Parts: sequence; C-alpha cells; structure tokens
Amino acid sequence: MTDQPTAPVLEMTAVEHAYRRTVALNGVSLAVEPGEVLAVSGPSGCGKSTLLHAAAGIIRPQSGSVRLLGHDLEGLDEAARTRLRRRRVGIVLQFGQLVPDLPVIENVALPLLLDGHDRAAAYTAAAAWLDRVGLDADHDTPPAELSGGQAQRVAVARALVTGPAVIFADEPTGSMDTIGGEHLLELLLGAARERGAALVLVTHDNVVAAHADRELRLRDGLVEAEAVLR
Amino acid sequence: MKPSIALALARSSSAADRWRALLIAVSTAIAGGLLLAALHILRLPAEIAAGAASQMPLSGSQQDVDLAPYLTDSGLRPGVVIGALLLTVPVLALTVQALRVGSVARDRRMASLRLAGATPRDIRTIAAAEAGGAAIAGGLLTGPAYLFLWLLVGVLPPPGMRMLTTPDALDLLAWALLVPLAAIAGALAGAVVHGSAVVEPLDVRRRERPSEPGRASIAVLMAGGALVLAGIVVAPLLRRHGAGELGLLVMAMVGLLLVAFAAGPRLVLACARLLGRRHASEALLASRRLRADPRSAGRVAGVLVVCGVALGIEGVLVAELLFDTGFGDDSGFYLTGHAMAALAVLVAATVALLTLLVGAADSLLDARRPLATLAALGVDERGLVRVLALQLSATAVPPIALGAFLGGPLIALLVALSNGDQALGAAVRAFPPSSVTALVAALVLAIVARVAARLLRSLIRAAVDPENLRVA
Repeated sequence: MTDQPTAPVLEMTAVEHAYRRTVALNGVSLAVEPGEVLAVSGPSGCGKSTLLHAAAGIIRPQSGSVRLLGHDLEGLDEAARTRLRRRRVGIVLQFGQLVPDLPVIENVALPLLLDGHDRAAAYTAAAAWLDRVGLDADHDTPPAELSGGQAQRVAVARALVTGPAVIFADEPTGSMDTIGGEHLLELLLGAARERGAALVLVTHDNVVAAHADRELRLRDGLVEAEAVLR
Repeated sequence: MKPSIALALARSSSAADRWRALLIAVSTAIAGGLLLAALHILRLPAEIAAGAASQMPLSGSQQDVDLAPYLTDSGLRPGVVIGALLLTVPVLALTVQALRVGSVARDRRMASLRLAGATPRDIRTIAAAEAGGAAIAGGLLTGPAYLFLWLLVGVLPPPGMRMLTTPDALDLLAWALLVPLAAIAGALAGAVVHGSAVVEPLDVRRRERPSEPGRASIAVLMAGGALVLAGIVVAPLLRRHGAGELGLLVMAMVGLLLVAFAAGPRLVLACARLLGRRHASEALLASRRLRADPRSAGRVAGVLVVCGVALGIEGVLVAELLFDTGFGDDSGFYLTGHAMAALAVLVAATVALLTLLVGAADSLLDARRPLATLAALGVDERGLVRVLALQLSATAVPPIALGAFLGGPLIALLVALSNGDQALGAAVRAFPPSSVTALVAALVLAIVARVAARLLRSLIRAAVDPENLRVA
C-alpha cells in the first residue's frame, strides 16, 4: 500500500486532453484531501466530465499527471487501473449506467463478484446497501423497470458497496426531479462523510455545488475560480 | 474473475442475446451435421465405389443396395462430399452473422460491465464464454441434426436413392470430438468478431476499418484468380499424364471461393455506387446504408456468387442433357443428380438470404434513432420498406446473376480443357444456358428481396416510432 492517510487522495498536475480539435482540459491542476467534498462546476462543454474521467483513470489524458490514492495512473496498465477503481473507487454517472440485463441486486454485487468475493457474501452486502439507499423496488427488478431516481440509487449502492476511499459522481442528480435529487445528494454526502471518503462531484447546478467543502469552477478547460465553501 | 462468474455474466437474458445464442447453436449444429455426413460418406468402403459389389455388406446389417449411385460411383462420390462441405460455407457465414447480432446493445452492456469493474481481460473471457457456450450447445445438437439429415436423405428417399447409411459408432465418436472443437472454434470466433472493439467504461470504440476493401482483399482476389488460371493451364497437362480431374476441380473450387469472398464486398460497393447515382431518395438512402458497412453484406454476396456459379454449372449441364441425345437412358440418372445439386444450391442460397435478413433486422434494431429521425423528416414507412428492399436486392441479385453468368462458361472451359475438347467453343456454348439461369436466379432473388423487406415491415414500423428519437 503506497497511499498515506494525510496525502491527497487525488492529485492532478497540468492535465491536458483534447477530442480531435476540441480542447477539453487545458492544463488543469488540483488536489483532493481525504474526506473532502469537491464540487467541479461550470457550463456545458467546459471539461468537467473529462476531468472526472481523467481523475478516475477512465481516460488517459494526453499530458500531465494524475495520482490517485498514491498510484501514478500513467504507470498503470488498463487492467491495473480497472482493479484500482473496482476496489477503492466508487463511480456514479448521470444515467446510472447499470448493466441492462442484470437484476439490481447483481448490479450492486458486481464489483465484489468480479473481484472474486464469495457470491453469498457479495449478495448480502449488496442487499444491505440497497436497503440503505432506500430502494423501494424488488431486488430482482431489471434496470429497465426502474425510474431514473431508482436507477441512480442502485448506482450509488454499487459505487459504495466496496467501501471506496474516493467517490466520483458526474451529474448524479442530473436526470432526477428536485426532491429526488436532494435525497440522492444527501445519501452520497452522508455515505462519504461517514466513511471518511473523498467525494468529487461534477455538477452544473449551483445548489448541488453549495453542498461541497470546496468548489472548482471550470471554463474552456481551465480552472476559472476556486472557492472554499466550508 | 471466477469461471462461474464469467459463465453467469455470459448468460445474458436480453431477447437479442437469446436470439444470438439460438442462431449460433442452430447454425453450428447444421454445419456440424453436414460435416458428420461428409465424414460418414468418406468412410464408406472403397469396394462399393468401384461399383463391383453392389450387394456387399457395409457394416453389420447395412446394405448399400439402398444407396444412390452418386455414392457408389467412385467418380461421383467426392462430388457429394465436396457438395456437403460447400453447404457448410453459407451456414458458417450465418454463424458469423449471428455472432454480430445485437452488437450495439451488447456494446452498451460490455461498457457497463467495464464501469462496474470488469477488466479488458474479463470482457474477453465473458465474450469467449458467451460464444463458446452457444457453440457447445450447437456441438451437442450436431448429433440430432445429423440424425435428422439421415432421416431426410438416408431413410425418406426410395431405395436406390439414399445418400447416407445407418449411423454407426464412428459417427458417435466424431460427434463427441466435434463438441469440444465447436466450443473452441466458437470461443475463438467470438474473440475475433469482438476483437475489433475496445471496450471502455464509457463506450465501445471499434478499431477503424476502411469501408473500402484493402490490400489483403486484392491479394486474396489475385490468389484465387491465380488458382483458377493455374487450373486452366494445368488441366491439359493432367490429361496428358492420365491424372484425374479431382485435384483440378478442388483447386478451381478453392480459387473460386477465394475470388467470390474477396469480390463480394467490392460487388456490394459497386452496386451501392450505382444506386447512389439514381435520383430517387430511397436509392440514395439504400446506397448510403450499404456503403456504411459493406462487409457483412459482402460476405453474403460472396456466398451468393458461389451459389450463382453452381447454378450456372447446373444450367449448362442440364441444357447439355436436354439437347444432347447421346445420354440415352442415362438422362434420368443425370437429371436426378442435377436436381439434387440444384436443391443443395437452393438451400445454400436460402441460408445466405437468411443471413442477410438477420443482418437487416439487426441493423433496423440498432438504427432506431436515425430511422425515427428519417421518419420525422418525412420518409414514410413505405419508403423505408423500399429502401430495405433495394438494399437487399443490391446485395443479393447482382452476385448470383454474375456468378451464374460467368461460372457456367468458366467451368465448361475447365472441363473442356481437362477432356482435351475445344475449350473456347465449349465456353461460348455455355453462355446461353448460363444467361437464362442468371436471369431466372436474378428474378427469383429480386422477388425474395421484396418479400423479405415486407416481412421486416413490423420491425420498420417499430423503428420509426417517434419514441425512438429519445433512444441513446
């Protein structure tokens, strides 16, 4: 184990990334401390999601460095980065991105099953998290039969089931109504603070960003402003 | 990842996945059944091939008195074996097409698995388990498929016309060996078919392949052409040395297959370009859809070129039989043989068309949003049926017509060369019957393409539903 409790869980230095001719990140640097809630905000197309994907090791930025939980992501191959995400990182995207043909219980248990955990133990942990997120649907329900809010709750349960040290959430309330969104946000913040996990929250909603400890505002792939909120 | 988890994740419950698994299993079983039949015929005792012992026991209680002369005649038996093996080609093309069924939904599923923590290796394992599992089922079904084939050609025809003797222990052994082979082949095919995709947690990137066939295709085309040409050159030499024509026939067949499969996508692209020059918007849309992915249509076109060649040969031989009085009482024997060969070609063409239909249905499901957009822009359902009919006929009609038109004279040329006859005259004489065959085949396939497009009307109706404008 190379990560230390006091070291930042995430460090990005001069990260640049472009999609063909569109520059998404133009030299972004940031650090996230353990247990910190960081909101990354900004208008559409400013590079928020690209920043989150680079931070989580989903994409490889074209230049700059990303250190996640003490690991230099550039030095890890695809399988190693996936294993790191699977074991120590939780990810929630805007539309849940659940595996369409697996019932919700298996969707939540999936990271544990893929990691070789005992099936019964994985299902027990998944069921506990589904209860915890307050899913008011049968655990055997296929994702297609869930509402947007229910699917997001399942995605949150899946992100938390492994006990991650850092959680990345990309517009987690974007597909939900105001009240449902508020509940989901409380759930994410509560779970992160209870575990002492860092939460990186990408949002274009100022109300959502206001829940964070710190807000980083992006524009055209650059950090435009940074504010400590609490 | 534990094997049990890989198997559980490979067992998808979506309708498209079940349909894909069923198609893979059924087509593998049919191909396996044909292979077992070919092996069984190859194992028949040589004595009956000489025609000297038509009452000799084969094994145990089996008697060859029931067998058709196409098996007991040493010159004709290899043709039956080659025919059975050639029939597996369109069936295997259907298997490859089946592996691609529902690929858009599958891509989304695989990306979700990656996001949930599956490594690229896990994804490859799941893909291999998925295809391999369906192929094992197909391998296990090979036995029943072979029994069905035996009932069809070994029991139902009248005595003297049966093509298979009673299955024996060696068939059972071949079946047992075929099951693991099918599983390995299925897993490998699954890995190859999905190997062009890089599955990432957010999407699936397909390695960009040029839509135009590349240098490899030219090389295959030239190699095939060279084999056919070599056949033409070697034929007189073989005759001079008294050697049989089987080697020449096999060489020409392999050459022809290579040419057909390399030419298939080119033919489809050429037809797409011609369609694109027409003024009708449906022709333009059909042209664009074909040009976007000429490969799967090209594979079917390749199979249909081979079917066309076979039909062309049949046309030439039947014409010879009808207009040449030299056959006397034997004409019935030959006509029956040609009818059986034509039936086999028909089965192969039907399977090829089924492959085309499966691909078209799948692309309709995958392209719901663009089709709904077209409908919103004013292209009505009837227009889209016409687009599909044009797409299907552009893929099916020219290959079979071209194959029939050129195949007959080419084979006539080869046969004349190997017999030491006037080659050019034989080729020229073959053109009229080949042309008639090409015309009839083209007409039949054009009708079938229209009917097939109408069969897919309900899918088109579902695809243009405005609700699909919201589909990702």
